[in-house]
Amino acid sequence: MTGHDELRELLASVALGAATPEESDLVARHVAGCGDCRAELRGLRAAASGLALDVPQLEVPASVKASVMDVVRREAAAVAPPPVRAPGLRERLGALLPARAGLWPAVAAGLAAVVIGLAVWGGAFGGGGSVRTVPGVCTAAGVSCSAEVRGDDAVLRVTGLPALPAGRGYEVWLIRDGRDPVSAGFMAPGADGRLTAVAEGLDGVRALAVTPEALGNTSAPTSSPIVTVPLPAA
Amino acid sequence: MGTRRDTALDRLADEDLVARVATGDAGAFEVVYDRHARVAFSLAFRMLGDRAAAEDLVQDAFLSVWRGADRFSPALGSVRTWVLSIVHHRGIDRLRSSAAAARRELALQQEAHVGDPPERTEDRAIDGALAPSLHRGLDDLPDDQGKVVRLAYYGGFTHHEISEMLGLPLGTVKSRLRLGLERLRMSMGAREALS
Repeated sequence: MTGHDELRELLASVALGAATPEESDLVARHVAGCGDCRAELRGLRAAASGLALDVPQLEVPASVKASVMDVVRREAAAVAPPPVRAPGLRERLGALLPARAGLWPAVAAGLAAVVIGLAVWGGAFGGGGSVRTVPGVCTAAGVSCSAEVRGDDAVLRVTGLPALPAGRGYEVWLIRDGRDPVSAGFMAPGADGRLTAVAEGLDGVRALAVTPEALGNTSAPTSSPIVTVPLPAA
Repeated sequence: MGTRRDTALDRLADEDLVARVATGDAGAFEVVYDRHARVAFSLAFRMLGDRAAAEDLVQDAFLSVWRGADRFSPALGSVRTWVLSIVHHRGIDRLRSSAAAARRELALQQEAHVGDPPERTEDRAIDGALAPSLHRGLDDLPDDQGKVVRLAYYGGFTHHEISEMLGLPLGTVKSRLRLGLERLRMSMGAREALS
């Protein structure tokens, strides 16, 4: 077992990003229970971040901010997005969805208010209630997907997602009967291709779908989903 | 730059802004961006040595800040430290995704002042990692400590790689990293207060 002194010797390497992932995990577990090392690591991290000030300071192109804020504002607005007709898409998405009567009928007017929370998710559901794991349909090689559903909330888990070029990301869509897909926001998979997202308040949502999209697009999917997870009726 | 209009958000502390960002407040996020994007971009450029790659990294990192603001913990450091650690870790991921063996070889060549001027991204990154610092801190360290700290922080090398590259025992590298960073912490003790 790795001892206190040995782990303490690793703190500087962790703060500088020079430790291996395994060593970083060991240190993370250690500092969770060791106040002295936690305080020392905090100080060393601050010193390491000071190295960022030790380089020539450059102006950031305005286009970078514009691009970031475009995504941020669109995702912030996704709480109550307007309905947008997407001719032809329902057929592409519908082919991958479970056959249900009434799925993809004519566009209904308006959208019921729904609260969508989408975030990087580090754990499982808190509190009580039964959780059902629902397998999904994945069309891309090496990709697997499922959702853990409890009531109107779901945790979407996707693995094996390929990296996308700059300017593109994975967009999660909410699929309802008779409605066009609604964007729930962009998600960035980890370096291992793993994406985990939380969607809350899914009453009436029949499926979650994921498509690769240009960042900023929130109007409608532009390709067939590579992930579709049907949600059980409440 | 940044002559931003004076709003109530501008007067909030970083920690309060991030708490608002976690609730989906795009305006609060914009203030966080304005405060920290410059140093984030400068770090990204120093690590990657390429403007386009640095711009992409900064976009990626700030979207991570936006989407992961609920994971910020003041107990672990300031907002600036948190933002820069995201930039740094993602920069390391990109550096390490390039050919590791080639990076090591190039770093060794540059360490020995051998070879032509670097042209490729990874060449420039290593060149940047070993370049003298702008002013305080690093240049005050003994050479042996400054070298390993530069290779680790700006070059994205693990202590194992540095040990191999420089032909030093791993324990020696760890010790130099610790001594160097502790000395930096003492000499840059006020840095955290800048955030």
